[in-house]
Formats: sequence, structure tokens, C-alpha cells
Amino acid sequence: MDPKPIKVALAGNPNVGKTTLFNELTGENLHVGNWPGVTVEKVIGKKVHKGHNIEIVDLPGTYSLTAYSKDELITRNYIVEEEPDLVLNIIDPTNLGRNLYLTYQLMELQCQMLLAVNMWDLTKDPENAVDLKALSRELDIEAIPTISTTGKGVRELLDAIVRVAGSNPTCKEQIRFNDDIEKEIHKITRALNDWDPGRDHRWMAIKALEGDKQVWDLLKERDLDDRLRELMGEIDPMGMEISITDGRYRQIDNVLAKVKKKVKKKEKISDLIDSVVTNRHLGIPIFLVIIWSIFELTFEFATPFSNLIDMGFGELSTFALEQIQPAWLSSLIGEGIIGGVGAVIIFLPNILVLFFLISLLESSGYMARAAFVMDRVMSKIGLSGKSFIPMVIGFGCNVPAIMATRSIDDRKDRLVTILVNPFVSCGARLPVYILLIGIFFKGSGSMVIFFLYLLGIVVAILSAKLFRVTILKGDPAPFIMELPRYRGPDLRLSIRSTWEKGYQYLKKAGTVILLGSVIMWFLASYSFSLENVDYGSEASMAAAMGKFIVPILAPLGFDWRITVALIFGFVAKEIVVSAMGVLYNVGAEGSTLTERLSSEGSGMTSLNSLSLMVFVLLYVPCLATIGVIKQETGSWGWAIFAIIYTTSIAYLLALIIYQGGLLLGFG
Amino acid sequence: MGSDEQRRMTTLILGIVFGSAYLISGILQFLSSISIIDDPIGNLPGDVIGGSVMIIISIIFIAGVLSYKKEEGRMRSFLLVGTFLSILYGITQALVTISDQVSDLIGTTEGAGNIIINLSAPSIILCILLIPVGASMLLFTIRGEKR
Repeated sequence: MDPKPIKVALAGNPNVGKTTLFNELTGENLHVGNWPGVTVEKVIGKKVHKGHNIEIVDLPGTYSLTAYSKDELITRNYIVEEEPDLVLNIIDPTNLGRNLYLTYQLMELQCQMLLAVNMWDLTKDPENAVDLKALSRELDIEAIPTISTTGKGVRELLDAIVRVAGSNPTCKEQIRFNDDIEKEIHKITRALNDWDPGRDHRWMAIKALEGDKQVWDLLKERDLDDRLRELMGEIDPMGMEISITDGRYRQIDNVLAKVKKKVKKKEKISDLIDSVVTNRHLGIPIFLVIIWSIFELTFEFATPFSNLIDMGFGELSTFALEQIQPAWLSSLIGEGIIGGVGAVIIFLPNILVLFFLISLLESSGYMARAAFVMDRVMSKIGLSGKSFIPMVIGFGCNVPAIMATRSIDDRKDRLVTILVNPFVSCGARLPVYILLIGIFFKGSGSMVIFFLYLLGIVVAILSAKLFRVTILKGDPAPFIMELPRYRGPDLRLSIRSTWEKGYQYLKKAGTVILLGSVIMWFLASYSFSLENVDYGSEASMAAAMGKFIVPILAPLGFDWRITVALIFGFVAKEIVVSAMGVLYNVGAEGSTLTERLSSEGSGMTSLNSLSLMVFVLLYVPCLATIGVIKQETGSWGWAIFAIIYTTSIAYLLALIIYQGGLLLGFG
Repeated sequence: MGSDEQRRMTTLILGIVFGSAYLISGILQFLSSISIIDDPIGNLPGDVIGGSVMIIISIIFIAGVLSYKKEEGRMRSFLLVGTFLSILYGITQALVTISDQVSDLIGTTEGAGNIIINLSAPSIILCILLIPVGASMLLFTIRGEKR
């Protein structure tokens, strides 16, 4: 086996199926979706094919090598600086002209290339038909047809990767621009050759003429900027960039004339649907109906399965408490581990249904339409429609949602989107709602969940407006997003993605939540002098901690047990439920957590449970989210601001709900 | 009458029939949820959101009917999206009804009622009626794309 791996970079426009192809090539299971901007960081996967080690790098999509957003910069830097052995350029035959723009820029870089013409099944439509041989001949690059969703063409692609990467690099046909541009390119190339002889500087010269920021930063670093500016004289950079772009497109038009047939455009289903779902008046109601259906199914359809698991854990806990000796061990297993971890696992069916439906929504292509529809609302409050996609991703988890903001070009837009994202209710908060709604809001469960999610979005939007008129003043950047083609449900992909999410949930239950439950059990079983006390008694550490802080949270209707659960919820929101599972073993009757919370001794009412749900929805983001806010903003200041701001808003709204409810006689 | 005109009339009639059916069911469902109507006609559960969803669906059908004078494709697009939402809502209601029955069966809840009566809710019946309409419209549009 060849020990040195072949480094292959997957490059292409957004939403051409790079990550789906990456998953097929490497056997990985990365998140995919049918909208531009799903991948925002590079991911490396490995494959052994015919004795060759292949290292495949999935890169964020980009329309050109001139980077504007953070994700585009990652792609450009990898291709330009890491110099992979081969660039696998994935192109979409339904948008060939626009896709070839990047292809030509990669060709200007003189890198070893291979083309994967993905979504080949769509070329059956005469409007999308491509003469593959002619394309390959015109570009002088081997082209392989692929269908990444079914894995068609993957073997041929791997064969071609090994073959092309092993061959000698060939000098690709270059675009010849008009004489004026060529003269300038020549001048700059010569100057760069004087500085670093023996290398081809044509690409750098073109980028310098285009006014590429990264190239000029590099030139400045090497004290070449003044000299080049002198050489360029009176050139208008904007005009030059337009002329270069125009030159590339002229070349692309020549190629298209040879590889595509001219056919009359026909009415498409996508256009028919779009004319309604993006309608000025109907777009938002349609979006709300779709989202409501997701929550109705998440809550109502999955409930019997959750109840079955709940009953099972109740029996298991009773069995452990009765059969295991010594007493401390039976308490640890029965009340601590089964009570805590079980309280989280029972919501697995709801989580699976939610993620399955979100995955269907993501693959359908509707997400981009939702962003387009919401842009009208978002722009009024100072955000662009692009900020809406991270919000919808946040329904799953805030961590990837915050990372998804990398596709937002404007720094302030991005910062506002990051700061308000924790208000979007993630899947980890769902168990808290389902638990409480199942007890206190029977019969209107999905409606309450729907309004909680809506409340999260409304608070996020209002906070964005507040930031836009105070600390992050400015207008939102214009919103441009390609509306992808609608696709029917891909059950294989959705099941795979749901399984992955379910596995992650169980893994979390078996690690962080298990640890949290054991710690919670320890705090409820021992005093500060480490003496064993009655479980959850006044003398326990948990009670002491809770009672110390409870005066702050008592106006919201919370007792010491909820207070302790909320403190631990900072690590992961599911721990709120697991901690309640451990702590409500005290003083309440029943074998399951649901039974214990419904009993009189629990002190829970519909009013304080509503206050609790709103607090959990809005209060401090989990540890992982705080970490990613710090990483993405590059500042602990913003992370701490997020903690303080979200918790203050949560406190204020929960206070209004609880005290307002009491005043109105709902107590 | 040419085939284009026949198609236009069929789309129009379907829009009127389903638009009215959803509008009446939606309003009754909404009003019964806020106790304005005690015993609504038929098997209509009192449900604010469900009623609102049905009213939204009816508005889509009716908007299609109102675009009668524009090109046929425009009217069809409203019918297509209205049908899609109706099917989504109907399937959701059917699955929720089945899950209620399962809960009743395993003894975690009581009083789920008769499954046949529950499955004959207007949203589910209308969804079943619209499935062939949606399928034929999709087939027609796909054939048109291929032609």
C-alpha cells in the first residue's frame, strides 16, 4: 500500500451535493441538506482504494475563489495554500454556466483536476442535457457522471482519482483575456517573477488585478504592494474585475455552446410551487402550518412510545430499589442512574420524530424558501433572510446553528445572528417541555410546544432589533440566495441522519447525563461533611445549594429542586430533566417521574411549569453553545454577554408569567 | 370546449369545492374550540390551531380560484400547494389519531374513542379525496416538463 495519501479536495458551488458525495466516497455520515451553506468547515475523511490511501477533504461551497464569507475563505485557503494533489470539482449540470466559473478559476490555479458532473439523473431532461465527452474535451479535464444520492459513479470516481493523481500534472488550457488585460497580467507576473523566480504567478497576477483582498494582504506582507500599485498605475480595480469576469464568462459561453443543446424553457413544478410558497401574503402562514405539523407529530405521535419507555424505566427503578443491596448502591442505581438517565431516554421517540421530520424538511429544498419568505420580516428588524437558516438549524442544536452563521458575509449580521441563536429552542430542551406539558397541559400539548418555539423565535427577532439599534448599529446586507430544486423525500438519507442524531442523544445520555445524574445523586445523598443523609433531606448538599439560591428564583415559582436542576442544566439542557428525575424521588409518590411530578407533594402546578418551560427556553445556553459562541466571535466578552443577556430575558419573562398568572388567579 | 379549457374548468371546480369545504370545516372547528358552537355538525373536534390550519388551506384554494382569469398554470399552482398542505395536515391528524388509540391500548391514556369515527374527521376525509387530485396534477405537470 502506498503510505503517502493522495490528498483530494472536494470543491464546487454551494448545494451541488459535495457532502453527499463525500459521505459516499468515505462512508462517513456528515450532515447534508438541500440548501446552500450546509457545510461551513472542512472535514477530512479517508478511503483505501486499490491499495492507495486517499485523504478526501470536504470543503464549504463557493461560487468563486474570491472569498467574501468565512466559509468561502476556508475553501479558498485550503485549495491555494495546502495545494492538494487533486481538486475534485463537483458541478451541477442544471446550472452549468455558473458552475464552470469556479472551474475556470481552479484551472487558472494550474491544479490537477477531475470533474464530477453530479445529479446526472437530471440530465435526462433535454433542458439539462450535457455532452460529457465534449465538456471533457473542451476543458481538457476528465469528467465522470455521478449521482451522489444513490452512489452511482462513485467507484469510477475513485478509479479516476487514483489514475489522475498519479499522472504528471498537465498544463490546463488558460483563458486568454483581451489584450489590455493580458498586458497588465504580463507586467505583474514579471514583477512577481523577479521576487520569486521559478514559479508561475499568473493566478496571483489575475487576483491582484481583481483587487482580491487576501492576495493584496499577502503582497503587503512581502512589501510588494506599493511596487505593484505603481505598476498598475491608473487602472480602475472595479472595471478590471468586471472585465476579467466578463472574459471568463465569454469563454464559458463558448464551451456551453458546444456541450449544451438550446431548448425552449418549460414550466417547472418548482416554479409552480414557488409562486405560492414564496407569496407575499401566504408564505408565512404556509411556513407556520408546516412547522406546526412537525411539532404536532413530535409531541402527539411519539407520546405512546415515550410512555412505554417511561413505564419500563419505572419498573426497572422499583426493581433496583427493592432487589439490590447494599442500600446506597440500590439508591445510586435506582434513584440516581435509572431515575436520571431514564428520565432523558424516555424522550428518545420524540427526538427521533423531530429529527426525522427536520431532515425531510432540509432535504426537500423548502428551507431556502422559508428563508426567502422570512427575509421580509428579518430585514425589518435588521437581519437578512440568511440569518433565518441558522435559526431553523437551531431547532436541532444551537452548536451547528451558530457555526452555520459562517455563510453570512456581513460581520455585524453574523454577530447578531450568533447572539440571538440560543433563544431558538434546541432538541435538548424538548424533553423538559414534553415532560411538563404531558402532565399539566394535556390535550393542548402540541399547541403549547408550537407557541414555545414561536416565543423563542419572537424573542430572538426582538433581541436582534434591540442589538441593531444599540450595540451593533447598521443595516442588514442584501439577501441573495439560490432557491434549490425541490426534491422528493430521500428516506435512506433521512433515516441515516435520524439514526445519527438518535445515537448522539443516547451517547450523551450514557456519558454527560449519566455523570450529571451520579453527581446529582451524590449531592442529594451526602452532606457537606460527606456523611450519608436521608435522600434529598435538608442536610444534603443539593438541598443546601438549592436553598441558598432559591430566594432568587422563588419569584418565578421554583423550589430548591428545580433551582438545582436548572444550575446543572448549564452543562446540557437534558440534565434539567435527569436532575428532576433524581431529585423528585423525594417526597413525591409514584414509580415514574410523570407520576411523581403530578402528585401533590411535588409542588408543581400548571403555572410554575409554564414559567419553568419559558425559563428553560430562554436561559443561559449550554456549555457547548457558550464554547462555540466564543470560538465564532473570537471573544469571551460576547460569550459572557450571551450568558447574562439570555438569563436576564429568561428571568424577566418567567417572572411576568408567574407573577402575572398569580395576579390573574391561575395559581 | 378544448382540453385546455376543460382543464381550467376542472381546476376551478376543484378549487371551489375544496376551498369551501376547508373554509366551512375550519370555521366550525375554530368556533367550537372557543365554545361558540356547542354541537357542530359532523365529526369536528374543537381545535383552535387545527381550525386555523384548515382556514389557511381554504385561503390557498380560494386564492387559486380568484386567479381564474390569469393563466391556467397559476391557478394550478395554488391547487397543488393547497393539496400538499391538506395531505400533510390529514396525514398528521391520522397519525395522531392512531397514536391516541395506541396510548389507549397500552393503558397510558383513556377515552380515545372509536377509531373509525376519529378517522372520519373532515381533515382526514378531505385529505383522502385530495390524494388522487394531487397525484394527477403532479403527473400532469411532470409530463408537461418532459414533453
